[in-house]
Amino acid sequence: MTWMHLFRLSTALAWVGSAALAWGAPFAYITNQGSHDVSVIDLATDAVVATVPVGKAPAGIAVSAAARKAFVTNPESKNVSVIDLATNRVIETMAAGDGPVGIAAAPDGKQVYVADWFNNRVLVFDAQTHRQTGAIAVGKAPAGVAVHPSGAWVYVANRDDNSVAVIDARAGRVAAEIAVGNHPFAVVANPAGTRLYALNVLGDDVSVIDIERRAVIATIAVGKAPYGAALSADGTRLFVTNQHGDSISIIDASHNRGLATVPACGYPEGIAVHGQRVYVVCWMDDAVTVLDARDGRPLTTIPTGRNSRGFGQFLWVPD
Amino acid sequence: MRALLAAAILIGASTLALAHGPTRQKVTETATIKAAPDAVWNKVKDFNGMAAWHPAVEGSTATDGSKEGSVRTLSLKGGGQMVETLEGYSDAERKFSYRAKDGGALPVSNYTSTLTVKAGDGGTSLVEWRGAFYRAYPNNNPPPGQDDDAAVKAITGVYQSGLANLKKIMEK
Repeated sequence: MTWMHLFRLSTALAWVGSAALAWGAPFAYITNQGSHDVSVIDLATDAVVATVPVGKAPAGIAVSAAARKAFVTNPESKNVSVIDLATNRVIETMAAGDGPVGIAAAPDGKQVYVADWFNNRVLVFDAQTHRQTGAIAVGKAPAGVAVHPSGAWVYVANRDDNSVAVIDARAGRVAAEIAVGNHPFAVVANPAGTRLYALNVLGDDVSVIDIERRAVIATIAVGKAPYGAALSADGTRLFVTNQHGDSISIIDASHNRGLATVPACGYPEGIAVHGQRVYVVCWMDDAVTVLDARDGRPLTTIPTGRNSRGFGQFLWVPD
Repeated sequence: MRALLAAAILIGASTLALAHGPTRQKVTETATIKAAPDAVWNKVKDFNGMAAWHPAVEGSTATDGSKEGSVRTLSLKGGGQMVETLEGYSDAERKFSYRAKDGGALPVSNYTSTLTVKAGDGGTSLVEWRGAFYRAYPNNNPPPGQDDDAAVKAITGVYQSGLANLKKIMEK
């Protein structure tokens, strides 16, 4: 064993060690609209490990494990910050219309879709080059964005049209519009790609859409002003934040019925599920509250920056 | 197709005023009052009784008292009014939440508010008043007086003056 071998071995070990650390634990990227930054939370320790300054009033987030990047919409500086997940630094800022809010990344990490609120369109960006590659006209006040697991379809909530636009990703145009409830803001697709859920803020309910039939097959009552939604990994449980109820609703997604509504925190907005834990972003409290996914029991609270939103896919689960 | 697109853009532009900008603001003000929580709650719990403790409120009418869904109209000293709907009410938790019909006399929109009386240390009360709202101007580039700062300042003023007066009344 030479010195060189030893050196190589130790660097290899160090590399394996840090990689194992990074791959072992999920991270949450929480947009803070009042402090203009993103809190990065290590969910193994429930502690903020980095605070990343971004553009003005960040709201939407799309973490792409495939692209190894997090994309953050800044509605007031009218751009999207691109964060490198390996370094937690902003590596690019992309101009994005006049009011970017909702955002989602394709499952393969190649495209990013941004709803341009004031201009009624969805902007398409190349996630590698950070160049805009398209703009697709949609309905009024486009808010939440979701991408089908196949990557073939993109769904956008047209808030002021009470509809969801179905975009053919390859053709770059709207293929269908589905009428939903009153004032849809967030949309989320299930992992199997069979169901789409639209949250109707003024209807206090959730429209369940059969993706193949492009039709609403059920409407489920939740709490006041449903805002964010997340599904368990197996797609059987849907968790919805009720902004004006300070609560979350737990839904049996296999049978389209509500199971329980439990207290969460002040103005809950973004939400994510990982294993047995539900992460709720609490706008009023400047915190993320962690709940037990089985019964909604509170487990812990993690302070974030100010006016935290976390609107979108904010979990990074390294593979 | 081009004409259709132009028409769509026109329709879009005409409805912009109905939308609000994407950045919600918030204000939380608290006051510690040397009085029992139940006594403080008794003073503030009437949804139609704000004139009894808020110095800026001159009069109040309500469609259904303190029942959820009741709509109160506050007339303010110096003119102007606020129309607010009671959205949630809990005697047990000593709190109620309401939503303003529009900004009314305040430079805000889409305004919701919650007033809570909690138990403080040593028999005192902790009154928390919190609001969530957007600025009055719904689009980009708001004029002065209709921007985020003006909205935050106005709500902060309402809460601070109300809580200060409530403290004065209860600690008399």
